[in-house]
Amino acid sequence: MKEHEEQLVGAICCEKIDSLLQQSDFVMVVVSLTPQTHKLIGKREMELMKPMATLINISRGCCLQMALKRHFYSNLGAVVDQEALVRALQAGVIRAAALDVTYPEPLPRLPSVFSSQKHAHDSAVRVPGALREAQQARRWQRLPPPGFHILDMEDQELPYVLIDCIGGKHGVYEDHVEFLKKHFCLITMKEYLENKKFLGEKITAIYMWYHKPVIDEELLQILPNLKVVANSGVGIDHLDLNLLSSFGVKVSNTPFVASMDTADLGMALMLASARRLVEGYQMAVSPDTEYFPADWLGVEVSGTTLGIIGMGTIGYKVAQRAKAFDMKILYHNRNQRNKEEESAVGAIYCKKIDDLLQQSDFVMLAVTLTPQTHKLIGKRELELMKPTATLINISRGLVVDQDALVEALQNKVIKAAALDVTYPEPLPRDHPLLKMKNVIITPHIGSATKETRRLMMKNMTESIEAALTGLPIPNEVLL
Amino acid sequence: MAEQELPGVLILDIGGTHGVLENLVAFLKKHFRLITMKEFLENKKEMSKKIQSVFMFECRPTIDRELLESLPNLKVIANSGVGVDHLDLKMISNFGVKVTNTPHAVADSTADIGMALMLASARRLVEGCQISISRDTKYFAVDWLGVEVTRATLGIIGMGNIGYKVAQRAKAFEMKILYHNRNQRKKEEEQAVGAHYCEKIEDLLQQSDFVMLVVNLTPETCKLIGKRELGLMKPTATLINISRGAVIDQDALVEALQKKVIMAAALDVTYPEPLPRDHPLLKLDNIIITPHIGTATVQAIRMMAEEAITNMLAVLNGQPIPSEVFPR
Repeated sequence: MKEHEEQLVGAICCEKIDSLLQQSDFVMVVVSLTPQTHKLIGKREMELMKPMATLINISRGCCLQMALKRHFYSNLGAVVDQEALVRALQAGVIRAAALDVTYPEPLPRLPSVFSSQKHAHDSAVRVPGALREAQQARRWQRLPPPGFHILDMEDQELPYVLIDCIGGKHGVYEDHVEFLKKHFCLITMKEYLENKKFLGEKITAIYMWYHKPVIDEELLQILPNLKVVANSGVGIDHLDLNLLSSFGVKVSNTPFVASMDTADLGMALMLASARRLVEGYQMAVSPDTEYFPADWLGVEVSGTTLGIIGMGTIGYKVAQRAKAFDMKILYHNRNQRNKEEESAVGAIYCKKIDDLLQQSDFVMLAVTLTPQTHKLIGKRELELMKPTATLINISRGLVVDQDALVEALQNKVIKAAALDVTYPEPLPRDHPLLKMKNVIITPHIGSATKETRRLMMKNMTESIEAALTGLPIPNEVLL
Repeated sequence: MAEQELPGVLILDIGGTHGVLENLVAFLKKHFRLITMKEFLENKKEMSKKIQSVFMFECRPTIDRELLESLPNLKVIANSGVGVDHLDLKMISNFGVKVTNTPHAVADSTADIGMALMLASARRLVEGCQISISRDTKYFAVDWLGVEVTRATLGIIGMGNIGYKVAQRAKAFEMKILYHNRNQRKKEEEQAVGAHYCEKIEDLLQQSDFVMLVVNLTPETCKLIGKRELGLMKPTATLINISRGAVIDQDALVEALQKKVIMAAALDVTYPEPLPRDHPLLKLDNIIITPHIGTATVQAIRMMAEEAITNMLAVLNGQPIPSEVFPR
């Protein structure tokens, strides 16, 4: 723009798009579609945006035909990478999007784009005022262009979805029910058992909230129309995937939403352990405390070495956080990450787990539980660790040989442990780990925040709806 | 160099509950002749002339007029730690004695404790630990939840050395960072951590999910956070204090926590330390208190001693002093 034009509207030129993306609360795309602007806004650009930012597109969604079934997420001729946008909204990378243009137009009846909600009141598609009510009532209607895009799902009975129960110690959260009931006809286990014959045929999905309801062969046999099991959380080690597959039932989980909170908890455990926070609290409040002794010390986190075993989504987020504490970061993973990812967090690959164990002050487990990672950390591995080292587990209890851990802690082979996960959960009340001063245990709270649990619920809803409409399932777990 | 020729440094005691840690003593002995308070009092005449410096550890020994008058050759009081609110700087200056502190040694470990408290509070870590080991625990309730740190808003009050390190750490948690300070930082410094300046403390208080106090204790910052400020905070907000207990109006805090004006607090510092055992703060369930452990690590204690020694030697050798503190 010319200088006088800039001054007239008070506009500041950002020669690099990155600079604009990083500073804006609202990003509005107003380009013409050319080969240069095709997929101008993709995963990288969305990640540069502020997490509270909104993307607005009034340029072009697409202008080319494509085969809907095969290429639904295909990105021919679009300024915004729509597949990346859906993921970015699901994972909360950006707060919201407002689109006057999509590809194709109108979008097919795929709920995920429209119900992508980071916070309760934000929706992915804003339609002109008068029609918002219609959308919220979930009546979707195909209208010819130009201008308006609302989708209609007339005369469709809500799908029957089996849940364990509502409320109580392990049920679906009461404050999630309102949202769920807009999408599903919820059937509790109790209701189902009272009317097996009728409901058995109707149930097409199971909403598995914290491992309940329990799914066994017997249940699968009496739910002939079951299409999908949506699982809360990322771990699916409690499900028999082969069994479900043999019944033609698809499975989804929620791998991304919990990743930040779990990484946060890994950091919280590491800091609490190193600085003896729980012991310190007990001293601060104890009725017997008369003074704070000068020789009561913990150890530093800043500037020490963190070894991350399992550098997937969660492990990488731990690395990003640890870097800000000036930690030296080593990692061990099935595969090495690419150079850019490594240098972004300053992480050094240890092909041999032994190298990582020998050099780390803190060893953090962030793997998935598989037959290969079962008892990954046993007596041998614990002995390779420094006697001043701390083991932190935010993966699964079974990744650690628990008896070997008890022995290692008792014999001061390692200094301390901080565990969000054990086997079983909770541990028996007389278990030696519960009595050790150098152990802190939290009750599997890696993803236990209001925000994340709500996001999980919404992700599960999207997965179920996609499966039931025969479309690609977000977060599908493949064998 | 014979031991008698080393400059004398006064310390409270070696070891015990408040004395200088034994492993630091060896360190000090390389450069100084150590004189404990007991030795000094037993032989004031001889010792008083030898003492050229005081090494303050955990705010001890207490420096009063009487002590200063009995140390004619005292040149420097080197404090372990950065806060010097326990010292009467004007009075000490009138005796021609310099005061130094250790701003570099404390910064990382104190920033770490700030982050540790914020995370522990948000994720209810202490409560969680209690549930994990309690005899009565039969299962883990799935509706037991904390709040997110990632992407929440952190308001840092006091953006000095330590406050800035807190901002660096918080940025990695994708937090939105607001700060309030006597002076605004440079643009590059702000951008490096994505921090937004709030000239008015009210703006910071109203927008933050976590408010962290990282100021020095001065007459201006005493009771900086009182009933009014707590009332401006979100009812879902958490107050974290890693500065000094007196920065908060403690009675106002008790009331605010009891009435749920704010959601929670996490304090590494109180007034006094420890609190009286019947203090209402100890009975609340939405508070974490730690026993002033901001610099309580093996590494930080050693670094503080090193920094203090460097300061003392600089004063005694007439060289530029790395961290001198001046009366206001």
